[in-house]
Amino acid sequence: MMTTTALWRNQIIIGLALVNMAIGILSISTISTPAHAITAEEMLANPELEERARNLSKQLRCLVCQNQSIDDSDADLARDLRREVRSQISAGTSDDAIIDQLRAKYGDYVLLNPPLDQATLFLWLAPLGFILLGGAIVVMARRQRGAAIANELDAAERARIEKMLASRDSENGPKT
Amino acid sequence: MIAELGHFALITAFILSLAQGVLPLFGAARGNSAVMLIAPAAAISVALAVAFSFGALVWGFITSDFSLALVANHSHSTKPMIYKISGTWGNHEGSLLLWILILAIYGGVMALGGSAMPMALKARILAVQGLVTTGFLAFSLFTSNPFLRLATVPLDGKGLNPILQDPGLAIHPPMLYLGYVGLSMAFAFAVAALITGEVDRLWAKWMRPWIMAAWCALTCGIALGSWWAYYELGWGGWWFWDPVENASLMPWLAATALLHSAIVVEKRGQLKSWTVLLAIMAFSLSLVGTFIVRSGLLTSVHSFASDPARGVFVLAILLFAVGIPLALYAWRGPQLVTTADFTLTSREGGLIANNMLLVVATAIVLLGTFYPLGLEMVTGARITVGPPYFDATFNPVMALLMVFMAIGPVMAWRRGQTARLRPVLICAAAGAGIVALAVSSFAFGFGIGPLAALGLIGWLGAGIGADIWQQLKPNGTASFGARAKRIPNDVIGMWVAHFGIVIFMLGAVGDNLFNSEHVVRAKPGDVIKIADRNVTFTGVKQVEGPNYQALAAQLEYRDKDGTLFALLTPEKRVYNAERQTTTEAAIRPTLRGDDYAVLGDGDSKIGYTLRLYYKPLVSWIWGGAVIMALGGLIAAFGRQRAATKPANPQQNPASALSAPDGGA
Amino acid sequence: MSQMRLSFLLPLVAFGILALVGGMALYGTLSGSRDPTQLPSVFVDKAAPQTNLPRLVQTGSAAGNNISVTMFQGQPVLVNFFASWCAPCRAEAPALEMLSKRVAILGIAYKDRAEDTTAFLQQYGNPFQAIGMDADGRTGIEWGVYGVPETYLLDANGVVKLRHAGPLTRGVLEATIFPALEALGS
Repeated sequence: MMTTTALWRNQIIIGLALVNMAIGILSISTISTPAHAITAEEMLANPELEERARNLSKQLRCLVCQNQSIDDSDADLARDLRREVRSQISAGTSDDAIIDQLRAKYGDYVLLNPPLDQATLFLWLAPLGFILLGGAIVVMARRQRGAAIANELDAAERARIEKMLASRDSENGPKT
Repeated sequence: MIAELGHFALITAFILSLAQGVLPLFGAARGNSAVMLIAPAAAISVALAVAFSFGALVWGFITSDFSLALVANHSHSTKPMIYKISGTWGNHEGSLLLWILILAIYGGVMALGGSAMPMALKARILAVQGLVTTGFLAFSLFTSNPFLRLATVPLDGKGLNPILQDPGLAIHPPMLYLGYVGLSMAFAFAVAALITGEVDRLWAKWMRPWIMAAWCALTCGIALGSWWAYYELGWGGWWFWDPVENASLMPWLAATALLHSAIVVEKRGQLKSWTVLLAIMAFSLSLVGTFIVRSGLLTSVHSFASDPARGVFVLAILLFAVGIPLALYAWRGPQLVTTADFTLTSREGGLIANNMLLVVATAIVLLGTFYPLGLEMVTGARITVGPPYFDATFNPVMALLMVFMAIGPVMAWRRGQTARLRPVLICAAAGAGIVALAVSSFAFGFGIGPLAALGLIGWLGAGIGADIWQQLKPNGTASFGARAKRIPNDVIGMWVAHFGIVIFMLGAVGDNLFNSEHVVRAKPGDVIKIADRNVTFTGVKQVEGPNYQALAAQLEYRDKDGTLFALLTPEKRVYNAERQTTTEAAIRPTLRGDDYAVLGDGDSKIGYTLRLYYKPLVSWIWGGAVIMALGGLIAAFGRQRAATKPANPQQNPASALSAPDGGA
Repeated sequence: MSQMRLSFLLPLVAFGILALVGGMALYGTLSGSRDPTQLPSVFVDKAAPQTNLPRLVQTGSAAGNNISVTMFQGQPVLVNFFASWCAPCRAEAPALEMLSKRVAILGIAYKDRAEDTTAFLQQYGNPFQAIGMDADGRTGIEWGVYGVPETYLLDANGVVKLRHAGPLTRGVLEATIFPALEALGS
């Protein structure tokens, strides 16, 4: 146990060092300090293009951060990627092409929206599967219960009760 | 000395909770009431011992006893008192002790109350609770002891991470844990039921207040966490689909399903095995959340320093606390199945739809959270599952749930429609239609998502309104007041809680659609336009805080007519002890919307980066959550529908059918 | 009925899978085989990106031509992204020195200034056969660099065999770099 503890400690230290060096600042503070993200200088003059840049930035993960998009992050890498996105937009590259380019360099990890492929087939299909499975279980359970319902009240009785119910409702108000 | 006593109390609590966990089980199996009575006595003793231990730790923080490793690592003598105290749970060891304290208090309260319950059931519930407590006490004592002393006492502590020095975060963990841990009571009820193989309506009735209490606390806890992220992380977001956020959302979804299905057990004696499963799931997901947060396997913006070695212990607890009950469920669960006596177009049917959708939503969050890890284990590939995935999968399920939310409560138990269904349906549809029409006629060019969300707000709001009107409108025999008086608390609570969702949705949609943002580099004297406001940046000021230095931008907010209505001072702080900088957003929250300002980097020569937002209706998000929790409280306490008398539908069909009020 | 019994097993099975994934990840993390900070490079087993960079002009030497990876065609090469401002880069200097005796190393100074790079090399040694200046970090983005130091191993055909992000420690050398070098016959 001792050795494993020592091992992970090393890992954490290296991990912290990695994060630090990636951010390019040597104090430990950068890890927990909230980001202040985009600065005015980075923004494109054309509001339409800037809007596109913001939207794209929100779909790209800052690789060295803890679950932030490059739009939200103050890390150096995020800033570089924001600049890359904007320079590509200014050069007339389409959004999809920019996404594809970054994906070709950083892999799927950079995409906050996991693309549909073999590896994510289950991820994307499962929600639909869950709904269908849930529905199937309810229907199956109901089929087993069919018998219990069938031999109960007939239509006339039902109508009488509905009527009773309606009159109770209007006379007494909600039952406590 | 006090710390040693605290440590000793913790060890005592460990031994006592082991006794609480084991002996009553034997007592209950043998029908030996003397042994069963150990349970409440032990539970109360454990609660007292843990409370003493926790008090000793808090005392160490208050007195800045830096001979304690924990205090030295996480506190500082110049910290304001409130953050010295909250620093107790601003770290792994202390927050674990807080978790145990709440667990023990729940056990103690259960031991003191529940006099109407059969002795064997109460003994078993307390025993299960005791076993869970034992596991966490072992976790604390063996891997995360908060009372370790340092050989050499430092002159001062290392301080608390500045972003944790925040009033919201001081109360966020206790609130969240009240929720997480409160679910352990429902869990104990479920396991006890699996041991005996019996579930009846009284069981559900006794369990429900615990579920409601836990659910309310969890709702508030999550809202607090989201609110903290909103104002502290400084980019105005309030939900990031971060693993730690998901970890709190999953138990909440399961608990929401549970409190609805428990109604069916209580009123109708149906859905027993399903409710037992949900109770196990809700607490299990709390444990899974603990595992995520404390093992550091998934990275997050929220978690404090994590440790895979601790993860091993949590995983072990998880295997016992979830594995055994689920195995027990696979074995005993089928015994609990009842023959259903209702059609799908009934209140029960509506509640089943609610449960199905909530569980599907839970499964989606679980899948999205763990899929990257699973894929990495199987293929080694690394992917990210971010907000766009959850928006595409989770939101539609929730939308469907909102459709049922308007109809479900006006369906009759067992079968078919009531007289109330049709007007509510008409009103809800009209509401949805009017909103959708109004929005599209303004031609805002919204996407299909926001349009659907707005339509749903109209649907649910009108549906609830129509239902309330139906129940309250004066008629021949009963006046408005008389009818209002007869409405039971759980129906009012349901209306309030569902209405809270409408409010929450309004906030979320308002912020999403009408949020304006402006990033500029400004020099003193510059005027920035945001929404319909003119903001003058008059300069920056040095500010001296209790344990930090800050640079504060002075922003004068003027409305269209030029009237000054607010001065906002977003800060950049440098904390002396921790030598960390943070940004403090300045927020002026109003019901109409929040003005939100952040000061970025810069100096007087090149100007300062300012990020200004106007966020319409954003505070309704948390307001809605609070209203939901309030609804839960109203429903949990006070006058309930009479339902404990088992209505036998064969002999008296009318009585089974005639509870016209809500509860879904 | 047996069908129903099976459905009661479902939660246990789902939990088992979840616990297995968590357990495997934990085991990997604790045993050191899983490092969440290491992202797999998309270029592994693919041709390295085209790279054309100005050569570092050291004081006293003449301004040279540009550098590219193709310069090393025909022999394995290590490509090391480093910077004078990066603390772990200093830590891995001895490791690179040692490696330079076995394999050619191309250094790419990432977002650095020439004078700083030169000072860095004077202080910590120069294991590089050539150094390219990636002043704006564009080349780093081309390679998918997410933090310096990062080291890529290319075979004789310029195909990326390995990427390591972070400093080259003794453990990293023994576990990954040396075996990969041996596989290339170097």
